Amino acid sequence: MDRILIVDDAELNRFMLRSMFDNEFEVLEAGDGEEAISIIERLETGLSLIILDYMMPKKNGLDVLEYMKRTHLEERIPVIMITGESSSETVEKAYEYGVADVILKPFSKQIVSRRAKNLIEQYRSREQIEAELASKTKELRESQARLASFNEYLLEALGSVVEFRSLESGDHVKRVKQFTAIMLKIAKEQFPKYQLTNEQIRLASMAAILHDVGKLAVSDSILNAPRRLTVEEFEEMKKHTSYGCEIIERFKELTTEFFQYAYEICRWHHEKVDGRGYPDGLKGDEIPIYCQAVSVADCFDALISKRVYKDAISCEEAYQMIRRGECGAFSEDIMRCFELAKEEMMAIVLQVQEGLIL
Amino acid sequence: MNIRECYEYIGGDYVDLMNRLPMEDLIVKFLKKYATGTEFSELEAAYASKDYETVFSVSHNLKGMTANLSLKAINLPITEICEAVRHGKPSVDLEPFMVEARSKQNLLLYAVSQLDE
Repeated sequence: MDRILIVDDAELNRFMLRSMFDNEFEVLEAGDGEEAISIIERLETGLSLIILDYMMPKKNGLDVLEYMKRTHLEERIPVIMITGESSSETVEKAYEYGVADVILKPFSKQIVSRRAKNLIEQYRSREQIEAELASKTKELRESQARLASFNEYLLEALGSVVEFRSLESGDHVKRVKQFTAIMLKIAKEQFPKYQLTNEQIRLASMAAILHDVGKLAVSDSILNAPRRLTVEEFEEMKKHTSYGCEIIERFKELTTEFFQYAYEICRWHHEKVDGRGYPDGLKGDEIPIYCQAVSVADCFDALISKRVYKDAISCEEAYQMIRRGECGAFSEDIMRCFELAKEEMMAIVLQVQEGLIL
Repeated sequence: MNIRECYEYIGGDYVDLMNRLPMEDLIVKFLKKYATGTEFSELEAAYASKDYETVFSVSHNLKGMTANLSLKAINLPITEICEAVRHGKPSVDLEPFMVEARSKQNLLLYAVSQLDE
């Protein structure tokens, strides 16, 4: 049985209202705002409706509404305010405080009873719709999460193809993704000027997986040459940045933002802050911070990994080489991020070596 | 005295009452509840001690109750009293309204005591 709370300091008014609902509802009474609040506090959504007087001793009707607003119960329990104050100011104030309806004295049985039932019904259907919506939203979120994880899996698979062609393990792209994320999170904290958001960091590190996708267009003889490349071969190898863009162009259906990150990372992850990188010779801030992060991540991982043409070196050694500029010039900002990210990046390498992740 | 006769006697609006609260058996109970209520004596006491804040809150309650029960003859002087003290000190002399309200209240108490069971 639905429960109604009648709040009025005049016993006769409570008695009259009770007699209208007694047959169909369980009726509770409170003689002032304070008593009403303690009942609402105890029963919360166990109440289907509150009929509230405006002027009362101790706490008045507005105090009760204020409490309900603070506890968000006004969204769940409909309140009808019954008042003898017919001024528009009073009525407006009541609505402002969150009442669902205002009934003026003298009241009519039919009106009070009809509005009460309508409101109970209306709030109940709203609650059902909200519950259904919440359940659908949850399903949708789960399905989005599954899709996102599937997308990530496909991206990693695509990124790994390059490495398999290069006779590598396939873990390089995953580490570049992780290192990029670590450095960009630090950049977000340390350098607000880049206005990085968590979503941007997530997309840019996902896009980092595709940084070398253009190598698919480079011939095996160059890609897997177990020696130093000739000048011509190196020129061809450098083209993997623009080949990558051509491949990415074919995926334009991807979200615009992700496409932009993927495109720019493919193209500019070999640019250097002094303009001596390739393919466009960008300088300084012309190179987006996420491309710089991928660039450092790529260099670092290449140094600590064994390749057909070289042995692996230690993390500390690789860190120092990059800091000394032996892999080209990087901006001070990204070097600061690298310095702060060093420990976390090394921990990942250590975990991989111990077979804990990837 | 039946309920219709009672309303005629005390200057109430029986037709309006039945339109709003069409439950004659309960109206008798409501009237008896009103008659045994302490509000009117509280009003008298507050008026006598010039406690206008209480005069306002009690007359405000009486105004609502008498309006709900269509007790027009009492409601009119009570409403005048309530509005006169809304902002504190009385804006008009309350005495004539108190005399009128008292007289109608006594009439009502008598009529209610004569109601058929």
